[in-house]
Amino acid sequence: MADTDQKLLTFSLGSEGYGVSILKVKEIIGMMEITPVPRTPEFIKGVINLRGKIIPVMDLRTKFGMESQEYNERTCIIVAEVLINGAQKLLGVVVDMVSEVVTISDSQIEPPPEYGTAIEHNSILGIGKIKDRVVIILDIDQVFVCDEVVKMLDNVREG
Amino acid sequence: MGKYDEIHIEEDFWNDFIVEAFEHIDEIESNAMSLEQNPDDMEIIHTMFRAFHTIKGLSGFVEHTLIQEVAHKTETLMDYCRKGELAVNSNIVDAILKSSDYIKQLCNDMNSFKDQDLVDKIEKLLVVLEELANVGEKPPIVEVATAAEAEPEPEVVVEEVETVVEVQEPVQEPVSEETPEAGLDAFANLVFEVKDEEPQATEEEVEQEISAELPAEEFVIETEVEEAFEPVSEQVIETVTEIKEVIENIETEIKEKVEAAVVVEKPEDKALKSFQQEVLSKLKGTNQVAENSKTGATQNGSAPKGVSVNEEYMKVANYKIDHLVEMMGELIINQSLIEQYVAAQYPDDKQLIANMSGFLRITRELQNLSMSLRMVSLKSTFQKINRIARDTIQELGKNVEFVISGENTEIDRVVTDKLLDPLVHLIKNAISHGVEETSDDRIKDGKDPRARVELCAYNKRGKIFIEVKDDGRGIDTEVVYQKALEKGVIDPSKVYSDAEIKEFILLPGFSTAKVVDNISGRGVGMDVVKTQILKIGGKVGIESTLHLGSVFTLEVPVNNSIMNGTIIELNKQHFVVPTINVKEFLQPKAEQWIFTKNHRTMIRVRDNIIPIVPASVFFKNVKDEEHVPLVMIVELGQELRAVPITNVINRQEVVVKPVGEEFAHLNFISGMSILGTGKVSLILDIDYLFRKEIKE
Repeated sequence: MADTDQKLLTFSLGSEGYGVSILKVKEIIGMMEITPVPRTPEFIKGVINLRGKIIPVMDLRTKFGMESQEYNERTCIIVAEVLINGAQKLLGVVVDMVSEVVTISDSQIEPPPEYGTAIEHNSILGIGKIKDRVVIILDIDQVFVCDEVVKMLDNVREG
Repeated sequence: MGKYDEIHIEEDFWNDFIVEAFEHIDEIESNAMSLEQNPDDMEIIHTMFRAFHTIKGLSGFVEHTLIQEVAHKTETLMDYCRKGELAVNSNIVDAILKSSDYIKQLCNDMNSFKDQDLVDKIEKLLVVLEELANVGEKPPIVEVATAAEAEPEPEVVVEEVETVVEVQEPVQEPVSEETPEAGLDAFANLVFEVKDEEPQATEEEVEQEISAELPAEEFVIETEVEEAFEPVSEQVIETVTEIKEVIENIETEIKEKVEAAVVVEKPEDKALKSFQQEVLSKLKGTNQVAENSKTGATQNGSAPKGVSVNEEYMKVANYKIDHLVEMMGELIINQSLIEQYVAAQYPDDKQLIANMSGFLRITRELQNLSMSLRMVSLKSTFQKINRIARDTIQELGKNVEFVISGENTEIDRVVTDKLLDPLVHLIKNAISHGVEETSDDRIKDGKDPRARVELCAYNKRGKIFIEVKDDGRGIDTEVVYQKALEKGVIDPSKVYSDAEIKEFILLPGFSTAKVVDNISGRGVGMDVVKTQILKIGGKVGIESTLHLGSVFTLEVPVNNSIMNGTIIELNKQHFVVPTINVKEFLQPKAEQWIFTKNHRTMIRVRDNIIPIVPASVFFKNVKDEEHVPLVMIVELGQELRAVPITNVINRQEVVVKPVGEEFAHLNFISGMSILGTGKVSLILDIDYLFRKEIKE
């Protein structure tokens, strides 16, 4: 197999570095007022108005079980295109800080660890090593389509 | 049979074809309905004949021989009708409707011709069509002759063009044998030659004078021909019949060759297609001329029938318009942000304020304009209902006249889509339950034996009203009350007014019909009507007088994307409530509360005891607060609910957005809206507040 390059948008949560495929990222916006939506999982912060489109926003810290942090001027919302039930949807993802876009080749990516992370295993595509840094490459579709969301949907269908 | 197994559909044309075909089918359906009312109306018969003819021509382009066959046979039948050799009766109308149904089915699914069941059914219909046509059969008379004989002026124009189309297929031959361009030229020449040829040939038998006129202006020819033909028409008919036979023979022969050739020769397809399209647009153009002059000539004040598509209109994809409307909403929001900023920061800058107000005027105009793009008339909805009403009346064998008015009333497309089901329920109800079982029952009441069911729409106070009226039995409040008691849907200790009792029929699970039939009477219809109409922000009204009839009125907003909302604060968050449902706000006094098991469950407001909808219905982990500063009373139909809130913010027009799929499970939210500040606010689903209570 040829060694192919891909571009990642890297960002950080606390001291950890993460990356998502740039192809999934629609845009990056600064923090804005989020309207909370009652009776949704805690990591769903609510909804925002993205130029006339109402999109849900999730907090990645809460999602990964990390201690939440006051939003500041570096806090960003990454607007990503995710697949929900086979349909492309826009989703806002709150992260501490957006770093940069890096090019990484397949040879620099290692398979995800079997255990030892708070993140569900199938949300991680791999561990990328860029110079002296390590980034966790996320499968953003899987991050959103997770147990809680499925449970949430099921719960209410019953009720 | 497998006769149509070999259909090879031109896929490139298919989408264009179905759009065109559906237009004609719709036209045919509505015309068939009017034809039943006025079986002698030649105008309608001609229009329908042309519609089938066009479908026949179009299906030739996509090489769907089955549709072509159906259209052809129906056209033949119509032909006898329009020549007056066959009187239109209900059998004929039935057959026509069936043809249009089958064509619709075939169009809906490109591969449906492989469905043997359907093909069998269609073949039965083809036989029926032939039998019907045979009744009127006389020595075959050729189109051109009749045209000259009996038709009103512009008709001939159409006839001649029709000839062009018919000869199209045979003429494809040169295309496959020569280079595309040369083929096209030959094709073109041939087409236009043939057009002239026919009358020229007949002319040998007729007077010399016509020949000079024929190739010239068509309108001129027409009168000339008409005059000239009259004395010699018999002769002409014979000759023309011969010619027609010859042409037909050539046609089939060439068609066979072409079919063989076209399959092999792919490169020519493009050129051929573009030419076909050219011919098609010419055909349409000419048709339109005929159409226009025809409507101009129509003297009777009756509504224009069968006037079809014009090229002055442009077809635009719905999503583009939706997007435009959406962006307009955004613009308005942005503008109000700027407006507020200017007012706060530069209150003394006269120039800026003047510029701003100019800007506001323009955007408002733009918004109205963009909203109007989405407005469609109720015509197509009413047309579908007309068809259903006809079928229902027939199925029940009742003597009912069904009348439609106000179909030109315009309403947002999104709203019309949601009106169809409720209206169908109401119409079926009116016909099956509203109207007396037999005419004798009506005579007993001193009424016309023929019942009348009316569907009308009108615009009043910026709302659309749609009424379904019948002059039938009316609602017997006694029966309704007993039934409601039986079903246990009401409180037996309470005294209800007549108006309230009539509303019972809108309750879920309520049906007074004795027998459940396939028309209506499952007791689902009426509450579906209510929920659907509520969902689009409308109301259902019932008026009824025993023995005189009932009127169901649907009151719906013209559009669904902007709503007047009242913004309230609940649990430190803003929510929007449709203003239409807000009855009042009040500051409750301690003695108004009614406690059960230490919980505030109801509130006494004047004579009413109103159940409370606690905040925990919306929020998890929320305790009912000790102090409730404000209560919002909401109403739905005749019922009331009290919602404790913290504050009322204001009342404004809000842009309504649907709830995304990811939140679809939150059934207490009916939508989301973007407020003037650009902030998102959730719209409470009033319907849910009432449902929830019923369950508990």
